[in-house]
Amino acid sequence: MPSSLTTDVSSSNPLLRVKALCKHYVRGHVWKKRVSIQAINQVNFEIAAGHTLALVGTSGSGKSTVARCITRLERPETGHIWIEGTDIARLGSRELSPFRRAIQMIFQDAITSMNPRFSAAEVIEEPLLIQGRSRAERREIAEALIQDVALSPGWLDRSVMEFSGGQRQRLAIARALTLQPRLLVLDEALSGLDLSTQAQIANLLLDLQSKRCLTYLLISHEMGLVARMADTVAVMANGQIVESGDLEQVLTDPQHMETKNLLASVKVTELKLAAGAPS
Amino acid sequence: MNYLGRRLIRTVLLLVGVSVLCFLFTEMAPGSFFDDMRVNPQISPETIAMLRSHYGLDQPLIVRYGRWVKSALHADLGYSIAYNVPVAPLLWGRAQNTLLLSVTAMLLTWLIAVPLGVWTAARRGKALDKTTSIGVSLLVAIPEVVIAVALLAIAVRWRVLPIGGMKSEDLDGLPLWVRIKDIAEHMLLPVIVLTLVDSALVVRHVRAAVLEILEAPFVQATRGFGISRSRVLFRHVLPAAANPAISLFGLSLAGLLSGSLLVEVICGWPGLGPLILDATLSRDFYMVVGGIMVSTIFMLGGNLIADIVLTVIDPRIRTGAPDAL
Repeated sequence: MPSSLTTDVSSSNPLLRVKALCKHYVRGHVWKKRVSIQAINQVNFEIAAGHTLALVGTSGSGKSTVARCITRLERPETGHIWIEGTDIARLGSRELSPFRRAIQMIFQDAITSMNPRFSAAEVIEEPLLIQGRSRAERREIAEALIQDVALSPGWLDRSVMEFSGGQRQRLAIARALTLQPRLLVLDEALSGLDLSTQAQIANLLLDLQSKRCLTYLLISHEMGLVARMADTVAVMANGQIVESGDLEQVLTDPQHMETKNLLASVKVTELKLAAGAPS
Repeated sequence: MNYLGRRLIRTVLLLVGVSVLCFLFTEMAPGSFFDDMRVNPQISPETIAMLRSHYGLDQPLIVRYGRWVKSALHADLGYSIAYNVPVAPLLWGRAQNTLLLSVTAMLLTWLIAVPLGVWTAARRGKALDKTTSIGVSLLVAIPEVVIAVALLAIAVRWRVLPIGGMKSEDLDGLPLWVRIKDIAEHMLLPVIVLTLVDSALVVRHVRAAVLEILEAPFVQATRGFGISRSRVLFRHVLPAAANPAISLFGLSLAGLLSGSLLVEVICGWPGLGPLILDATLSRDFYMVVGGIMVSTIFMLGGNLIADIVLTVIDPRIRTGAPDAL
């Protein structure tokens, strides 16, 4: 049964464990017939601390819904989301607050994911407001973070509108790191960038992962990027995980048609190069 | 040249354009004020020609326009043939009555509609939102004439409010508060009609603007930090949703003189509405031109004020940033 597939990450104590996650949306209104759309159905996976799981699939396969459920921007109807042993799937907003810090999301479009009226400093410092940090502390943290993502602290007072696409994505990473999360959900975070910038940001994310022991849920449809960053892969189709396993296993011996179709769009040599394997 | 400078020049050019078209179309309209006199055998054609000459209507249109512009620059909008008085003081007296009505309705509209729009957007899909949406759709669908006539009929049937006019007779010598109360009672019916009609539009726009921002990725990202709903609403959503609301407020200001004309006519409020209607029906040339120009000045002024406010609160408009929300 595809619905019961899990990744091959065998960890006794995974950072994130998702079990039987379901989410549906209802479309329609008083004048139009209401239709229920099952966005994700019985999704199971887990990620060990410090590892990267790539959730891949075509548009509409349910990847982003999984991301929104895990970050609790959406409330799943059924299923469990254990983060470091605590199920956050049913928590109310008050109980959820400490776990929000542990999971941060980086959106595909860095331009629209920041308030265009804010300066870079305001963007990075805002999450710290809920911790009641002083102005000086917030500034100090922002200066350190902006350097971590290879931007100049002198740019903190610039409006976010003055940054380029790649710089804004770095800014988004800095903002996500403000609350010292354990898990970063990268929802097509590198998709809109040119190849050179994409490679730079991917390197930055890999560096940050090794320095801060971050865990990534990489959501992407670009197999080249997945080959470069992921440890394990789960393939989604029609709201379900249809295949999962170690990166090499999925790339070299795909079982499901969906995986084969995704791989068919990328040359094998490119994948091997991206993964660092000899061609 | 800066944004406001360009905006001011555009406003002046529009004013000139409207005045030219206004002269042209009023002249092209069939008939004239003297048509009734022509069928009266007691008035000779010479008398009519003399009157036309007296009011300068025998001159070519371009000459009349030039003279009118020259005098308009000194706040003189010409002479009313029907009332036999200068247009400007007559218009100003009636405009004050219109402003009393429309400013009251506008304040009530925005005080009610903005919180309601934000509230329904923040509670999308809940009972309050659904009920408000149905009410708003009905109010938008029903023409204001029908609403005005229906409320007028109710007021007449149940004798709950005074009908027609601005104040009762024989109020001289009574205390100020009694006179204010009397005017307020006369205002109530047209104010209710205007507030209902305008509120429906403002609630729709504010709700749509707030909903759009609530769905924006930067608001979603902010929610992901665990920031409180009220901070998300007041720090992120409302400032971003303010732009379309301010533009709409500019339109409200712009419609202060022209938006209530129909309701004034139906409810018998002695404002600009009945005056301009009478002037149009009787072809009182300078009164028609004056009425339209005063409404146009308010229209352009309202939009200009909205643009100035937008540039103050949103620097991206000054700099012409392409992704200004």
